[in-house]
Amino acid sequence: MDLHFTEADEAFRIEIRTWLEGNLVDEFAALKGRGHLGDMDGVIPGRRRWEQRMVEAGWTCVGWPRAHGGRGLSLLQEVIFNEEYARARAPGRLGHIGEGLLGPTLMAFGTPEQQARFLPRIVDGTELWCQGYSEPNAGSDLANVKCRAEPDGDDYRLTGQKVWTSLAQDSDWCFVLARTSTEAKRHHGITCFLIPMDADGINVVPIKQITGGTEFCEVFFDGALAKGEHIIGEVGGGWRVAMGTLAFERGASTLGQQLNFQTELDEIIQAAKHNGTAADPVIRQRIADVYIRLRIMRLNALRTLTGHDDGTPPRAAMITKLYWASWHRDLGELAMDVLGADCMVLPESGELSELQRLFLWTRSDTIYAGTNQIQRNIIGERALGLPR
Amino acid sequence: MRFAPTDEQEQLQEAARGWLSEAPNPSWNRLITEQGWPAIAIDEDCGGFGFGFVELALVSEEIGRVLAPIPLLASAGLAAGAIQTGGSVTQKKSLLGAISQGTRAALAYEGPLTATRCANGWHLNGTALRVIDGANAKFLIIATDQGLFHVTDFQASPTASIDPTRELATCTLDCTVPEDARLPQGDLEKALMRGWVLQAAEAVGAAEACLDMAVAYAKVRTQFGKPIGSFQAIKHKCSDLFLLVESARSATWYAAWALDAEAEDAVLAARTAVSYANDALFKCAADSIQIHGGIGFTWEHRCHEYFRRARADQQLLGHPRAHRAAIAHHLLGAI
Repeated sequence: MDLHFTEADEAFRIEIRTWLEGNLVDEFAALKGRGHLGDMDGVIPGRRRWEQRMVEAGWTCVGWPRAHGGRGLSLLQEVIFNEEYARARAPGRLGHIGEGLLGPTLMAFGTPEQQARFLPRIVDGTELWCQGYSEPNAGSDLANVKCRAEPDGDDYRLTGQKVWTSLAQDSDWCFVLARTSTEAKRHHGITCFLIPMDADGINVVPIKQITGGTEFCEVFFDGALAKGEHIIGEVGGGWRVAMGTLAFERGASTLGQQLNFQTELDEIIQAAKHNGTAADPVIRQRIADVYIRLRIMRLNALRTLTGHDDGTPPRAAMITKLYWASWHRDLGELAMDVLGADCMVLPESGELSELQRLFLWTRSDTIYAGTNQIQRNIIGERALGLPR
Repeated sequence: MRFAPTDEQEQLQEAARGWLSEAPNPSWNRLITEQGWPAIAIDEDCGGFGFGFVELALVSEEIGRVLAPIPLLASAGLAAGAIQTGGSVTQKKSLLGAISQGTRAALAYEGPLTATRCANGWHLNGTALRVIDGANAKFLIIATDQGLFHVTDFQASPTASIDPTRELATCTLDCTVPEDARLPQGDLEKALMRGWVLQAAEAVGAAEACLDMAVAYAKVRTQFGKPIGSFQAIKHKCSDLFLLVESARSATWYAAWALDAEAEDAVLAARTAVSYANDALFKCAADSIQIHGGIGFTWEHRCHEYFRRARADQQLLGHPRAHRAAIAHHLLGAI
């Protein structure tokens, strides 16, 4: 057991930290802290320019292999990158769905032609992606997707509805699960398509959410054309692809977020010191409790990384999503209790304060990317071997 | 960066597990002859094996898993910890050497215990409660208002505990000791934090045992024609316990490493580990009884032994609430 970082890793940390300090200036200074939870649809033009600055310096897709245009960082260095990115309060990444979800999915399941067509444009930030998986009747039960794909020559026409599609209004492409067969058993009739968001027959309707923001959308397909050459994996093999994507979503792409969480906790601690609740023994216990659990969240993540060196993540990695989602929800509730009566009152701007937004937003954490209940099913069945 | 036991460390842990499965209730002499565990984290020049608290914690995890009544926590954790961090070179050689060889020792700190200067050195007086393994200890390290002392002249009477797997004692002192019985750099917190780490490690092993028992039972016990583990009310409980066990393990491994590496946050890490692991053990032990149903309430089933251990251990070296209060003090300052 050795938790020291190597000299090379420490040097890398200094490199990215120095770059961020030198570049989050001028127009980009105003982006600090923006574009994160509850604000993912904020300051889009500025964040597009920031993405380009990142591209020029080679800081996109840092964990991808060099062969696919990435920086080829080890998982540990990727975590260091994410930690420093959070420490610098750099803005939420616009390209994170392409970089974290679609890219790895294409590397695992795409053809060389598909990889050559799509991966470079994720690396250079010219194409933003959204994910068309969930439907009104296919949330936790994802295999229940009803969106239809009808053959049209070599291509397909999509008809149906997706929902909770993050950033659909700003995306160039969408990866969509649609049903190519209603006869096969339900897991086998699903296919994964890539479709341009400017295709005829696609209508995007933003959803106003609990925080008042519109980070998610409904996406309606009415005979929109998806090319046969843009199917990922086999026709009817979409379930396997989808499970691969979800594994990326629940695993590696959540590493490094602890520093964002630390920033939020620091703000709550400041609020408690400021308004005197820091003297309340019950609040003190709860602040210590979330602090302890945040420390352990980071340690759990480091254990997960160690497992990856040997090939597979340890069984304990399955707790990641359930752990951080529950923690973050508790943090939101603590924030309100620290604010006390002030938590009822909006700031003069009439907009939610950051802690009020945290409280409301974190209701989503225990739902998206696999609800807490689905996570408990996964842990129970796959980690503990309990029967279905 | 490698946050997992090395192959050698894993082998040590597996060997400990194997040995304890053969000898779940070994005599102290047999333990010393066959395993020599008290020597694990003691330096070689003091007669120890020269490993660290990571190794000691991994073995402690196995002790906790089967609730073996082996007071490694008392001698190798608390007493040795006090000497390692506060003793003179001479004290280290003699006292740590003795512990390595199997001499039982204990830490008495819940007094009041007083030390008063006298012509021949120090007069020590008072009564200490709940001293782990105090009745079997050949010497005590005691915490007084004047620092830590090494004493051999004391009376001990065993205390019955709700947890019969840890022997507690009341220790009474009224003696005079020479000047060199005082540990020159004695620091109670540094001694206790070694105890916290080992206690957390035992809790991880015990909590995992509770989870394993519950899961095994949920797979074979059928009601309504199905294994009860297929019901989400049971399955989700088990999943929550798994989260607690694995998180407690992360916290404990880190705390042990932080001790060995003399990391800046070692005290914080130890408090984090022991508070989280003891609360996790309580939840695991309690829910294990619930999942076992009526059988979990019987004397014959081991569930209650873990439940007793869980509640007693929450008090043993400071309640989790007290550790959280200390961490709050670190984060928020004094009230």
